Amino acid sequence: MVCAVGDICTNELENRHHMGGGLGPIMPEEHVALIVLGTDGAIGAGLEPNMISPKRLGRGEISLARVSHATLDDIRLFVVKEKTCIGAAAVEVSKLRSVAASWKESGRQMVSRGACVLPDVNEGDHDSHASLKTCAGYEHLGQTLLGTVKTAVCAELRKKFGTIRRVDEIFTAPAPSIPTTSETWCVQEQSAQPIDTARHCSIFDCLFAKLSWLRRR
Amino acid sequence: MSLFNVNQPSQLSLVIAGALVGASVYVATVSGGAFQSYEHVGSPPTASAAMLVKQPSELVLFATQSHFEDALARVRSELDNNDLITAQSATRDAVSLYTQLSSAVSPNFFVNDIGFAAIEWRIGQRGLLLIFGGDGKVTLAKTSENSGYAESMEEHELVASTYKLIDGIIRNIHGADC
Repeated sequence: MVCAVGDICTNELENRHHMGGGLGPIMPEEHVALIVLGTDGAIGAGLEPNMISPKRLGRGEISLARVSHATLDDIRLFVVKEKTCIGAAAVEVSKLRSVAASWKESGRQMVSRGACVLPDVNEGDHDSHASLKTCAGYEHLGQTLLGTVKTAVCAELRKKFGTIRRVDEIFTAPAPSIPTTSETWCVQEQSAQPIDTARHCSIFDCLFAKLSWLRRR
Repeated sequence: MSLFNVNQPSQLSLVIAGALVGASVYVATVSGGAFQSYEHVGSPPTASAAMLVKQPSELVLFATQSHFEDALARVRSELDNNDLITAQSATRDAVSLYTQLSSAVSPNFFVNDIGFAAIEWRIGQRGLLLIFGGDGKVTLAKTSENSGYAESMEEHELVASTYKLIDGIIRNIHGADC
């Protein structure tokens, strides 16, 4: 299937969450980040060539995090784990979807999207996990032309990601965890100022606030 | 493993010189020298002898070979046998082309996980990517604010006019720095 350059495609609308549901399709205005682990790369430098390589792109193995749905703690817990984290490179999804591949076939100029940005959540992944995958639009090409197109698409995708930045410049600090005591819950729900819980907040008020918060989530 | 199968540094320029005279190579020894077939020295570059227009300096040749050997070593575990054969031809073509360029601007050299070799010059949004698939040709891909590498690709033979074209594009990207 050939995906239109720039627009969200049917592959990207498909639900790829291992449990169903999930956060839904990745919108063009969202930002995604590629976390740079290991030793290759430095803050301020571009992505190393093999961070986005044809085979890994073809297998959909290039992992991304949806910036607005992940916190620093999520990144530490689900991505970095015990590894060395150099930083991350982030880009607006529409820019990745605008990467096009163009070639001549039987005298006609053909154009296809370079890669799809899929909301791809497998078991053990955070819900904000996404992946970058080659678009099927040019997979039928002969070996040398296919390799050339893939090499150029990978280079353009790297360029779109720009430079590596500190992870805490891209991801926000973790949201406060749900408090367990009624006192702190009321402080958070009703006002930024500490309040006298005995006077303003009965246990039922707090339970109600907590339930409505959970419903909103 | 060496990509070029040339064990003695002093033989390197002679191998290139040998390519100019055809299918044999003059190998210097302590007691003199003799022409040997390529089988004894190493396989020739995919690019033919006519494609070499100047004698590359040993330093540039060594540095370029070494960049590509490092790049290949980084992806070696991901290459199957076919990819490796592609990589060997592709890197030979890339070295052969790079050593013919006049530009003094250092690019990035890399080999990817399908065995394609590439040389990239980039400043900000503008850049030139040379892609080698091991078929004795080079694909020039340009990028700018308005178009991507994969949108403007041109295939060229490894000949003198291509080297001039590439030098011109690099000068255009780097402006006065080049």
